[in-house]
Amino acid sequence: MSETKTPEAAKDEPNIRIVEDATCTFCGCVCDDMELTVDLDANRITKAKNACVLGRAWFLQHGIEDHPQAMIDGREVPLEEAMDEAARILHEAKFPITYGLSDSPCEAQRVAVAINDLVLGNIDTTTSVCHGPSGIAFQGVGESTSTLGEVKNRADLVIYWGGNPAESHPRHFTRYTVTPKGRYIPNGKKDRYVVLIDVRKTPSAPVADQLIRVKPGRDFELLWALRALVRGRDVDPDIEKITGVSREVLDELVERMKNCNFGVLFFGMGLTMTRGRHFNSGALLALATDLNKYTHFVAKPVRGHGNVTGADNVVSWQTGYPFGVNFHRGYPRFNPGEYTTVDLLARGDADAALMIATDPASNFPKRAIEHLKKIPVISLDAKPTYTSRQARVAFMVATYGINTGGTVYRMDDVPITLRPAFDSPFPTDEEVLTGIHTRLKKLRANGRKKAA
Amino acid sequence: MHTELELTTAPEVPIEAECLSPAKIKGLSQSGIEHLAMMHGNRKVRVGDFFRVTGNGQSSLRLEGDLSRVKYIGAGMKEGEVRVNGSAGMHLGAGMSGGVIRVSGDASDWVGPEMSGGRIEVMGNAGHMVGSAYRGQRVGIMGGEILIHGNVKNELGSAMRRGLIAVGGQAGDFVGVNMRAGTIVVMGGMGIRAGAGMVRGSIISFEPVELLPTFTYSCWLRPTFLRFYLCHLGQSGFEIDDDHMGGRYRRYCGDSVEENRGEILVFDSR
Amino acid sequence: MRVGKTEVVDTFAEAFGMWGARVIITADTKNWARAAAQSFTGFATSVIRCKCEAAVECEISDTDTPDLRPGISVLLFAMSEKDMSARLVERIGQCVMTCPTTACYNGLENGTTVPVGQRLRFFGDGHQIAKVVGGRKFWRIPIMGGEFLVDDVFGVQPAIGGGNLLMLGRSGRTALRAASGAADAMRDVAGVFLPFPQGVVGSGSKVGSRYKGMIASTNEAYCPTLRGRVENSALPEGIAAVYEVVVNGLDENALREAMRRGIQAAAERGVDYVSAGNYGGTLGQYKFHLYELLESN
Ligand code: SF4
Repeated sequence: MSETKTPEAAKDEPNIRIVEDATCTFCGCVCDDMELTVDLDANRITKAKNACVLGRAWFLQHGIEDHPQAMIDGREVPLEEAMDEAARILHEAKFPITYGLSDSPCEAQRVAVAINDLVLGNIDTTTSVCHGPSGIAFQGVGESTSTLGEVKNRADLVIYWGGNPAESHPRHFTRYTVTPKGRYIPNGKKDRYVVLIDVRKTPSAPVADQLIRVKPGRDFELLWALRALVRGRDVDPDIEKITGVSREVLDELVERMKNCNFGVLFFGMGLTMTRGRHFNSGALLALATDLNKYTHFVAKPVRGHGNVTGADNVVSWQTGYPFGVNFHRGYPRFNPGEYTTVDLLARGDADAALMIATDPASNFPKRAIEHLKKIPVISLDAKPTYTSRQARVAFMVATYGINTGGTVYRMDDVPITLRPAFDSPFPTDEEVLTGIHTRLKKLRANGRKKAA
Repeated sequence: MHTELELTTAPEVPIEAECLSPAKIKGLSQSGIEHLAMMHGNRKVRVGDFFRVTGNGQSSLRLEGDLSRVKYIGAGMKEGEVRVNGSAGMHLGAGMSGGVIRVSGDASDWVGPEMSGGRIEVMGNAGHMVGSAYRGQRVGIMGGEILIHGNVKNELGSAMRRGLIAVGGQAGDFVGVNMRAGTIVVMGGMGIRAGAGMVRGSIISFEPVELLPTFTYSCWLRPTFLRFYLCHLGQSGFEIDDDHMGGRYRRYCGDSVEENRGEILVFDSR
Repeated sequence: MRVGKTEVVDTFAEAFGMWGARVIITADTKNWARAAAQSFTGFATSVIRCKCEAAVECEISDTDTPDLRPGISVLLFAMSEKDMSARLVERIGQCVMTCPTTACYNGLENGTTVPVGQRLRFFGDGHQIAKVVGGRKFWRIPIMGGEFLVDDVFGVQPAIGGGNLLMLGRSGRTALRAASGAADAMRDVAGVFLPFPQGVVGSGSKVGSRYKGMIASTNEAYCPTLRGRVENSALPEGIAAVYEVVVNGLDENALREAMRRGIQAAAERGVDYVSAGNYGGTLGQYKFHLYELLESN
């Protein structure tokens, strides 16, 4: 990778800048081969070479909005004052929670963990509402894994389960899993067999050699039947009635899985967020593990948000647990269902919330939103959202990957450096969080002095 | 004689009170009990800040009021009795190895996690993960009895290794998932995927159940051992009618993705 | 001492310490439970050759058994704790488990236990299932008829064997009627059983013999035909037959009560003499003086 530079050729048009090897953070693919053309006068990206449709939209539609940096109760205030207020709220809360983090760089995520450590709070990421079930399953079942690079170079059987990358991760197929030629896959797609398992025919289907349609909500049964068949056990003769997939198709798939050289199971939220949740991902991970008796097989979640994988990694290395972590007792405790945000808001547990780059007010269940309205909320986001509009303290922050640098993790846990395109008048997540953290440290020290 | 604690101040955020257990209270004076520490969210508080205490520390404890936000009641108890006149919060009886907990109202999620003995009775409903392993733990309860007269949610008795769990009402999905052994009786019907990944153990349902494709029908029978259990439950306040006591059950064995040594018995009304 | 027309001899019965267990057999019907009990208690009259003694204690109605099916309570005695386990395993395995629809439970709540189901479970060849309910562990052994249920351990307790009464009659008929009447009366007492056929022994024995290897031999002192032939005959003139009623009990009180009732019942039937067997008080730990039994009432 080369450094960000202003090429010689662009010198005669001084307001144009080319950023090579920039990184797109729009989805979990985190493509790091972007070539951005930036119009520095207009603070706009005019061209995003190599980006997919989603990535292009992400880059080209990005502008600098005219918006206050910080607001309290909808009123513009100086940044410092907002940070004071945010620190006060968190300091006084008995059950402060932090949520979001999946669209922030790791450096900011780290500060968020430190804040919770300090205020004895509760930190959770959007993982708890997308692949949290997988997180639970990793713990319960273990994970047989690899990087996307290995998939590209080795995988001759690629199975997608409950995902539609053509629309959600457009370059997944082309960069890693289907078309690229790899070291042991010299002919690219010709050397691979691609299976799509989903409840309906999606735009991803044309890429696949085979589409297996499972009855809605029957993924677990199908996975379980596959596990039994891989182990040489029999399954209910009514299997087609139960899952919508015939025994012949199952047998053929099992043979194919056992006899490939390197198989990979990618799974998406179609699997993790349907009835059964973490058991569905658990079943899939267990299937991959079972298959390792016969050949090399790995399972990988296809992650949505740009840096949700980073959130898992940062929260894990700082606390030992990936999400849903509570510090009330001064040490981290993990219990999804108890310390996961949706659940604890629905029960009315929290009394203050720090929402980082997330919009729960638009996508949480009603009970959770209702409680959120009753407590002071601090929001950090790069754009106005339902949550920021209702927040007691709202910070407008710079967009990561476009205006700020840092590190993000690709969905296969590979860290990637960001190369910002142009500056933003807004502070970064990290700056705001660090400001709050510094103030909290002072408040804590004063509190201790008073107590003494 | 018992010690009475009445919740007089409603907590703003959940309380964690492992101290509400005979093991911690027995032998203390009234003010000793009032000074026991609890967590109110992230703050340390005293029992006396929220409860009115009557009497000194006995091995029998009576808790009055809506304790649905009070977690860890009866945690780690080895003997004695805790009676909750009202509802109880999460982690009721966590890690208990003996004694009895009775709740007249509802209980929340994680009833009896890491339990190894004793008995928990809930007259109302309970939440998810009753008698289950904590996340990341391989084994659930190691013994004891959990008797819920109302309904429960998902993952009843997940990964349990020994003991008896009975539910008078309905249970959610994944009853007895990954169970190693032990017995689960559900009288009011259960959701899907019961016994997924079970190694050994028995799941008994009075109502028809949709089973996973990895369970195989073996036969119908009138299980003598079940009569034994149902007598026991009858003595514990469940209403067991003669049909269920002496009737026939369809036996399915599974889970074939595991050792296939478990069983699901489904009452067959014919 | 006279009770009615009967002369009660001033002597005592000598009894021994043994170990006892109570076995509850249930089945789908009373008949199958009886069949199992009959088989279980077969060839179990005397420890001398049978290694244990056993008989039915009583029948239990289907409201009182552990599984609410018709049942029978059987008592089994042997000489040591270790023997108890072996005998229970043999007999439950061969006589109860083999009998259709049965289950077999421990009937003694007791501190001392011996392994039974724990050893029988191997019949399940790996398919057996352990269950624990209310602190009680039992085994489910899959069998061709369905499932056989047996408690993991059985309680055993020190018990008493060899309580006895001798019925001496001028006619064989009187003696036998008295003996079986006594046996019926004694059997009603909870905690005792009568190991011999219908409770009556026609060939009571003494310890030892002139022949090597014989542990017991005929009790010539009470054989009517040997009166005049042997010097130690214990029989008054005119006695035509002597029948012995042997009774074992879980504890001394039960045994006392049974023997007292036995004497009464025999006297009601007008037997000539009621006596008891002993070895001069040198062998057994327990002595039951007939007079004391009568006086205690
Ligand atoms: S695939 Fe994802 S990361 Fe790659 S360019 Fe498209 S939106 Fe951006």
